[in-house]
Formats: sequence, C-alpha cells, structure tokens
Amino acid sequence: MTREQYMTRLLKTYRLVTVLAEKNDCRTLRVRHREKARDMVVHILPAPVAAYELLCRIRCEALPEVYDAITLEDGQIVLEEYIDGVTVADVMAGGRYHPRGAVKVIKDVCRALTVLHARNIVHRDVKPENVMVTANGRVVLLDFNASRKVSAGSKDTVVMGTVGYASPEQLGLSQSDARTDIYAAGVLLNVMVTGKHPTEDIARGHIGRVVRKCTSVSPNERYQTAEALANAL
Amino acid sequence: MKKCPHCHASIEESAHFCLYCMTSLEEKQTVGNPIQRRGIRIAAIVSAIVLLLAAGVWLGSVLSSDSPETQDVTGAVTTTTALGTTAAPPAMNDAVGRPTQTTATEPMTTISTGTTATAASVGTDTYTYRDATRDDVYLELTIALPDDVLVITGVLTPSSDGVYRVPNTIDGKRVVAIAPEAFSGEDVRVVILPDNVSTVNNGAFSACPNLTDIYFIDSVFTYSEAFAPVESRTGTLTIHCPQDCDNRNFRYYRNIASDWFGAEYREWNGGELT
Repeated sequence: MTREQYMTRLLKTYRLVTVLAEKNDCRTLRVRHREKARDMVVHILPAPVAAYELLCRIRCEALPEVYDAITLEDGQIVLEEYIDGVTVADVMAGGRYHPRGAVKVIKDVCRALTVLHARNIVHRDVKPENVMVTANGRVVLLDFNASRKVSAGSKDTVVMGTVGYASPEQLGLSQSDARTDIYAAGVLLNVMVTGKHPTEDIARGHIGRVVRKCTSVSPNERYQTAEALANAL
Repeated sequence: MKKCPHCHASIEESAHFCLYCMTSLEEKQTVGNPIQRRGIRIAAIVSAIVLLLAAGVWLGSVLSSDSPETQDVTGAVTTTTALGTTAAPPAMNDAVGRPTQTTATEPMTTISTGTTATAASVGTDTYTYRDATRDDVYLELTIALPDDVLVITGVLTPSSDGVYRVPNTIDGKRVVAIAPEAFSGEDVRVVILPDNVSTVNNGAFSACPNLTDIYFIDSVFTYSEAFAPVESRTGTLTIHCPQDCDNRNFRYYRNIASDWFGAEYREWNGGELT
C-alpha cells in the first residue's frame, strides 16, 4: 500500500482539521475522528523514522503517545496523540520565563530525553517550538523528524537540527549522541530565562553555571545524561 | 487483516491501533516519572507564594544596587577589501575590553568562494588537487565517508607563498573537513576555508607558527587545539568571519577567538581576494 492509499482510507474516518507542518517532504496533519470528534496527529514521512517504532510501545507523560507507526511502500505514516496546548515559543512571544518555571519545563524535557536516550534515540531538534505545555501543566517534547538512532561507529553526514541549538559536533563530522540533546537543552534553558542565546547573554547564578556546562564545546565536559542535568537543577 | 477486539472493524494485521474506534491494541509500558497531579497543584501554589516573595526581594535589591554590567560583544570592525591597499584597521577593543594589537596587513588577496576543481589524479581513496590559478599541486585529500565527501589529510607540495585556498568541491564531491595534522609542520601563512568545510579538527594547524590569517566563509567548527599555541607563533593569528553573517557560530568566534586561540577576530565583507 502507498501512503496515498492509506491516507485515502484514513480520511474516510477522519477529517482534516489543519496542516500543522510541511517541510522537506514531511507533512504533519491534525485530523479529527468524524464520529468521536477526537483529534490525532498524522505524520507522513518519506522514509521510516526509527524513533516512532520504538515509541509505539511506551507511554511517557513528557512525550506524545505514538498510536501506530505504519511502514508503507513509499515511506511511513505515524499516528500520534494530539497535544492541545501552547509551545514554549508561543509563551516566549509574550515575555521570558521565570527561572523556576524554566527549570520545571527543562526537567520535564529531561524526562523525555531520558526515555529517548535509553532507547538510543537522539532527538537532535530540542528547541522552543518543539516543547509544548498543556493547560494541565503537562510538558511534552514533540517532533522527532530530526531524530536519529545512534549506532556505534557511524557518523552524521546530514546536518540536522536548528542553527543555534545545533551543538558543535552536529556541524562537523563527529557523531551526535545524547550529549547533543543536552547541549540544546542548555541553550533552551538560557533562551527561556534571558531571551538570548548563551553566546550573547548567559543567565545568572546557578542556572548560568548549568547552561555553561551544558553548552561546553567538548561533549565530554557536558552533563553526560539528561538525568544528571535534571538533578543539577 | 484482523478484527479489532473492541469494535470488530477489519484492520491491518500489524496494526497497533484501531483507526475506527481509536483504541490501542496493545499494552504499553509506562516510563518516565509520572507527574502527581495534586502534588503539582499544591507545589504550584507554594511556588507562586515563594515566587512573589522572591520577586519582592529581588525587586528591592535591584532598585537599591547599581545596574548589572552587560557585556559588549560588538567589537567587530569591517575591513574594506580594496585591492593592494595596506590600510591598517583602527584599533579596536576585543570582547572583554582589552585593546587588541592591529597587525600591518599585507595587500588583501581575493577569495573566490565555491572553487571547484578536478582531481589531477585519482588513487583508490586519495585525490591530489591542483589549484588551476597557481599551478601548485599542494593538497592531498582522502575520501573519508560513504557519502563521498572529502577530507583534507595533508599537503603534498607546499604552496610557494604560504597561501592555501582549500577547494570547495572536487569532481562534485564536497570538501567538508580538515583532518588532524593535515597542515602540521607546513609553512602556512594564510588559509581560506570555503563554505563546505564545516570542521577543523584538533592539530590541523599545529606546528604552523607562521599562520597569520584564516578565513571562514560559512558555518565552521574549529576544535580547541586546531592551531599552534600562541607562544609558538611568530605573529598574530587573525580569524576572519563574514560580516553580517547571521550564524551563531561566528558569534562564538567573536567571543572565543581571543580566549581560545589567542587570536584576533575580524569581519570581512566577502569581497574577492587574490
């Protein structure tokens, strides 16, 4: 079956609410069950992303529940929980985070990263647009399109991630690993508190120390696990 | 095809989820610490009170103390690339306010970005590169990765005037990095790295005491031990980054050039250098 055939079948039961994102041949839609009126996110991808298969089997508060990851002739379709909330980017548009609020969000992001890293998945695109907060205070890390399963001895040959949040090794030839996400989390924390990238304006006090350690150029000098970062906050 | 145990609709054999009734067909493992809902509410109220108190204290301290010091990170100077002139740029302060030495510059050379070249000879995994404008055969390259990108691994015949213009692509393959020790021990004075080069590894320019200028054109990451240490250099090293480039890594260089590499940072306006 092709993706188009699958989508035709899906759209008999669901109607399209909106296109959430469309980039690099990957499309993300929000659909609603015609009878149940429940929303769902559909990712249409040109090639299978390993992260989704693994996330199918687990449920984590800080990650969107992946209902199904269907591999087809010409790519993959992923059905995912629709999270109703605002992104940290939206919140930032109205001002900066108080350090305590930022720490709370980063701790939840670390929870999500711990789950991913335990399965050898590196997110590679941790940034304000990919962190969503619901009305209940649930913090969710979204968007695994840039993620990659880490395997020993291979190298990243495609630059993924967002400039500014991309750690130095993502721009070079060495391998991204869990510490790449730690770097981005440090940048995110700084941006939430000061509004600026750590190289422009670093946060004060303890948070600044944590950010500095997260964004060390050498991965060996950063926190080695998301859990270590969460504990430091 | 199998039947959904909840709504009996016909679904794919391998499905984990029934589209029709929106139920999961499998047990899922719950991972990560579950968040206590009630605990959050109480914690939120307590935090709010603490925040208000903290804000009051902070506000009091801010109003009574001097304004915090801010770092000025705009110590950059744009140099015009008039051919053949030796205008010395005006003295400027670096990121932490120390006046930096200005070097008497040689006549500015032009950079042509995106130079392509064909290999003079092709071995099983090495190329030699001849710079057509200079008739030097001076670089040795290696195919390093499955994607057919090239890494500069060494110098075959040294350049006559110490100027090395690294090619951007060769036979359609991008040159993406400078390997460790690639230029070590060579009499390198000026290096121009084109936009495909994204990494300069440790030791790439070790034992190059005469290196005075390195030009970056696009996003590049330089490991901390890429250049010979300050003590061993004969002159000042200047790192040139494009003016107005909205690339955070260049802001890195603005801040770290001096601390990390004992180098000056200068912006150039992308003009042609010979």
